[in-house]
Amino acid sequence: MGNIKIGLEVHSQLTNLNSKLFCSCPTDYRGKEANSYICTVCMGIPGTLPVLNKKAVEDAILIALSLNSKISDKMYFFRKNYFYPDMPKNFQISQYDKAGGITLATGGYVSIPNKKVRIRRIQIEEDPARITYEGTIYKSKSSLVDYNRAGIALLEIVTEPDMESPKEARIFLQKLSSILEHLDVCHSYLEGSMRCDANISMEGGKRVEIKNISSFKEVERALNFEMTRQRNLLIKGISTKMETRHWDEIRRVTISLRIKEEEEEYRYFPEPDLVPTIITKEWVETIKDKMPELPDAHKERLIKKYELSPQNADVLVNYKLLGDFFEKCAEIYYKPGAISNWLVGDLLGYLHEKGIQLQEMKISPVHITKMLKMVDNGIISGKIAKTVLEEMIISGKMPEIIVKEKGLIRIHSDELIEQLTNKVFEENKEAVNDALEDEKAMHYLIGQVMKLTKGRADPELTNKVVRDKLIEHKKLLEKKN
Amino acid sequence: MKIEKSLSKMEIKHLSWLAKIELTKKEEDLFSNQLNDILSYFQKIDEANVEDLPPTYHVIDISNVLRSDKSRPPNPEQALKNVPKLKGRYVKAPRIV
Repeated sequence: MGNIKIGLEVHSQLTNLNSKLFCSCPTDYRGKEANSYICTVCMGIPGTLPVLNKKAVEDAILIALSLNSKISDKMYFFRKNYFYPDMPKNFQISQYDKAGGITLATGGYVSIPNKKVRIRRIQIEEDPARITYEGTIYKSKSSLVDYNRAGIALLEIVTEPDMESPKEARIFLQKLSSILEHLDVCHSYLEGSMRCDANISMEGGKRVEIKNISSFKEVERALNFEMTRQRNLLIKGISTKMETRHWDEIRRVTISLRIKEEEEEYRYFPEPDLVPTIITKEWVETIKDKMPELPDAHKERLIKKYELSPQNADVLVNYKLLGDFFEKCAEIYYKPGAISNWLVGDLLGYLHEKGIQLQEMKISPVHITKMLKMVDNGIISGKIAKTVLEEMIISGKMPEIIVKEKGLIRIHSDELIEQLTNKVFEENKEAVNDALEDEKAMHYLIGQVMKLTKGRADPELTNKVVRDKLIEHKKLLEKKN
Repeated sequence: MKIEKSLSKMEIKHLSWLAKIELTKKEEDLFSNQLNDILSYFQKIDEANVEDLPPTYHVIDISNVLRSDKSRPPNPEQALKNVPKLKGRYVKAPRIV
């Protein structure tokens, strides 16, 4: 297998802003009626002027600092000209690092296990509109454009081709997303807020760009597909050509689609409607002062303060919302080990299984701590707690209510367990005889009692009752003989 | 010394592809003449010696015109006034891929 080089171009919206990059249109366009969040500025009506959002620059600087990049002392905006209906002006206001252009920041890196992925440059630009097609993209005669997204502040982060496998690309994106989440500037759980183009080249072939990748999972899939495609071509002695391919999420293939403009054909030139932005050291310092805890420090603190396993700490850092949730739980009921196991294991697993986003779940830290207290006080078993947890996530009901409604309280009654044990002994005579010799068969009997109570029988008590009953049974047999 | 630059037919065809405008044979000739005139006019600029001058990115010497991150109600009615074709709430445009 030849060497693989992967570089990524990540586009991340600055989701914490109230207004667009160059106009005052609001940013919470998701789920809103098409073309309802637009004005004459973001629609590029002649005579209107864009004015730069200060907070967008500050958020972008914060991100650049967190990625160890060098902040430029001034920056310009350029027009990137192309004819495509996703930009009503027929150009996108972006930045350019050639022809005397200066982008927000250059250099920097993101640490992932065993390597640093270098950042080439970071620039601010406006998000284009969203285009949908009547029918499929291949057959549709016209495109339908919703400009609500046009003009949303977007950060482009370009890496060097430092990643050597699709998996590494995914790990990089997870880390980057976690950093942005910690900075509270981009919430990647918002649909389409983080998108990515990927460049992949294999030894002996040309660089291929893959566009239209909507999520991290898709990045790994698209790259894996492209790797196989290129490898098959190389085996046949065909060299890959330099091209742009489109990732078809549904068919899971990349398709050569548009003959893209070459860079020089975008006719970049300085945006005359916007003036240069000087970024003073003092300005950068005031932003640096606001730098919150970043993933690496966060992980270390979780391990030190709560004695969590590095694995659990990793997950809580990757899912920052869950990490915050964890600390709130630990504040209420100091059982960090158990809490982290429940959150990282059962809770996250169930959310993934059901396709529920973290911020959609209906439970608060109190739900979890109450449930844990019930387990620790022997009111419910761990197994029952899992059922309770799932029910809490869906309905948002408190654990004690679920337990009452579903009759899940642990059975402590000797009498009831003895009754059930008698029943099990009646029905499993062979197993009873085996159990006299074999520990395994005894556990089978205990399991049968648990099954009759749907897991509600107190395991210790059941264990004791079954053992006693077996001794009794043995004595009876000895008497007979 | 004047360097003659001229646009070839191929370049005109390429430009029309970039601009998504179809040209007839007649128009190709017409625009190639016109664009060449413009180009040669601009070549005068090449005669100026700018070796030691810093580049100008903006004609007005001001910087940092910024606004605070406050949102205002959008104005879709006004923004959509000049849209040639709508389909429901969507702007209908030719398919370009």
